[in-house]
Amino acid sequence: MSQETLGRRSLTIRPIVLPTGLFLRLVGLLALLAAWLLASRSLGGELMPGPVATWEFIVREYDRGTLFFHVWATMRRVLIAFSLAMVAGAVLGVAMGVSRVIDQLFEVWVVVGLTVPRIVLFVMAYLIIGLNDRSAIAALILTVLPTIIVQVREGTRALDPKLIEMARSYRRSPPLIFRRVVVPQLMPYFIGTARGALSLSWKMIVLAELLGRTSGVGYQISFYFQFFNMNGIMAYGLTMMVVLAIIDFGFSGILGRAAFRWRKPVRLAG
Amino acid sequence: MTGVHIAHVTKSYLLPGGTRKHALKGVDLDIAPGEFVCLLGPSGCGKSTLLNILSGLDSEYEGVVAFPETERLRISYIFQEARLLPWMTVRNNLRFVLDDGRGSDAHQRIEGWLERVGLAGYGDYYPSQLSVGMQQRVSVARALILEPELLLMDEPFSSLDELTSLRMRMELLDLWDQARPTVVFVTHNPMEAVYLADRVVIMTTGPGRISHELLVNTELPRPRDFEDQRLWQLSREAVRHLMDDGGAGPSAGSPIGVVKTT
Repeated sequence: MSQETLGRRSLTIRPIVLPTGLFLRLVGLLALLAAWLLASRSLGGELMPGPVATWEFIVREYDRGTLFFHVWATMRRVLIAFSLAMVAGAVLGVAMGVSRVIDQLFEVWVVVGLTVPRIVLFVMAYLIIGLNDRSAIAALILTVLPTIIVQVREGTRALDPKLIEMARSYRRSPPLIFRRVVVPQLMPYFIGTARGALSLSWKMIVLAELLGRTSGVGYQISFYFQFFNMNGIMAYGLTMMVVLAIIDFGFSGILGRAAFRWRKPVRLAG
Repeated sequence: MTGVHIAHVTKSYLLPGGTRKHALKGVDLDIAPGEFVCLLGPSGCGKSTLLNILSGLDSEYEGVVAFPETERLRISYIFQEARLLPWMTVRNNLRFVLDDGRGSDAHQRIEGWLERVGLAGYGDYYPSQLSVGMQQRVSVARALILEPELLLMDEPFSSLDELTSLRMRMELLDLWDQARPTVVFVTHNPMEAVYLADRVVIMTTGPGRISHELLVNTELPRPRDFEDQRLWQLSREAVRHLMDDGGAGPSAGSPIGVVKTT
C-alpha cells in the first residue's frame, strides 16, 4: 500500500519493527499485566496484590530461603513420581499396544484409573500409607499413569508396519529394530505425553501437599490461606507457573528439536 | 548367487464367515542361479505374497521353498516405496543394514554405493529432503551394498515418473550385470517385465497361480534396447496372455479366488 492512496485521509502507516508474532504476544502479555493491575486497584491490595507487591514478596521469600526450600520439596516429589510413571507407562503402553491379550487384561484398570477422582487417590493413600512423602508420590504415580499408558498405546498402534517389515527382511535383530525403528516413531508420543503428565503432576501435587504435607508449594499456599495472606498465595502460585513454563519449554523446545531434526524440511537446490 | 526351488506353494487365509481365500495355489517355479525372473500379473494374483514368502517375512504357507545350502543366504528386498528410516541420514540408512556398520571399510562401501546410484555427496541428507526417485535410489543402494545372492523387488519403479523409471531400469540392469545376483522382480507392467527379465512368469488370479512363461532370453540377448521391435512383440504377447487369463481387465480387483471350504 503506498502513501498516495492513503494520502487523502492523511494517514501514515509506520512499519512495525517487531516481527508480528512476537509483537502480538507482547500485546497479550501487557494486556494480562494491565488486567492484573486493574483488578488490584479495584479490589485493593489486600484482596488482590499487584505485580510489584507480589514480586517483592517473592524476593523476600527467596532471601529467607523458604521459597527455594518449598519449591524444591514440590519439585522433588513431582520428578520422582513423574519418572517412575513414565517408565511404567511406557512399558505398559507399548505392551498394550502390541498385545491384544495384555490390552484387554488391563483395559478395566486403565478406565478406572482415568475416571477415579484424583483427590480420592490422595486421601486413600494418606489413610492407608500414612501422612508422608511416600503416599503422596504413590498417589501421584497412579494419577498420571493411566494417561501415559493410553497415549503410548496409541503411539504403538500407529507404528508403521512397513518399516518394521523392511528391517525384518534385512534380518535386523529385534533389539536393533526396537531401538532404531520403533523408538524413534514413539518419540513424538513420549514427548507429548511427558508434557501432559508433568503439568498434571505439578497441579495434583500442590493439592496433595495442601491436604497432608508440611512442606512444598501446596503447604505454603494453605499456610498463607489460614492467615488470609493473598500476597503469599500469589507469590507461590506465580513461582510455580514460571518454573513449570520453563520446564515445559525445555521439553517442547530443546528435546523436541533434537528428536525431530529429521522432520525439518531443508530446501534442496534444483 | 543362488537358485530357488519352489514347489506346490499354497497360501490361504481364513476369511471371517468361514470362507477360505487362496492367495496362492500350487505354485511351482525353479529359478536358476543368476537368473532375472519377472513375476507379471494383475493385482491380487499373489505375486507380492510369493515375494514375501521368498524373503522369509511370511513363513505361514504350505509347500516347499528351498535354497541351496549356505551358511546364511544374503537376501535384499526393494519395496515399492523406498521405506527408508526418516530419522536417519542417507548414510545411516545404508549403515543400518550392515552387520559391521561401524567398521572402517563400511564407510568406504557406503560412499562407493552412493556414488554408483548417482547420489555421491548426499550422505548427510535426510530422506525427506530427497525426491521420490532419489529415495528409491537410496533403497537400491541399501539393497545392493549387502552384495545379495537373492534380490527381491516389488514394483520398485511403479511410483516414479516414466522418464525416471526408464532410467532406473537401465541403471538397475547395469548394476545387476556387475554381480549377477538372482533376481525376482514383481511388476504389473508387461513392457518393464520383458525389458528386464530373462524369463517372464505370468501369474493369474482366482486363485493366484502361474499361467504362462515367456523365455525372453532366447529371443532377446542383452544388452537390450527400448526401441527394439522384438521387445514390443514380446510385450504384446505377454499382454495377450494376461488378457486370456481375464485378469488384466477392469475385473482384476474383484474377489475371485474365494472358495467355500467344506
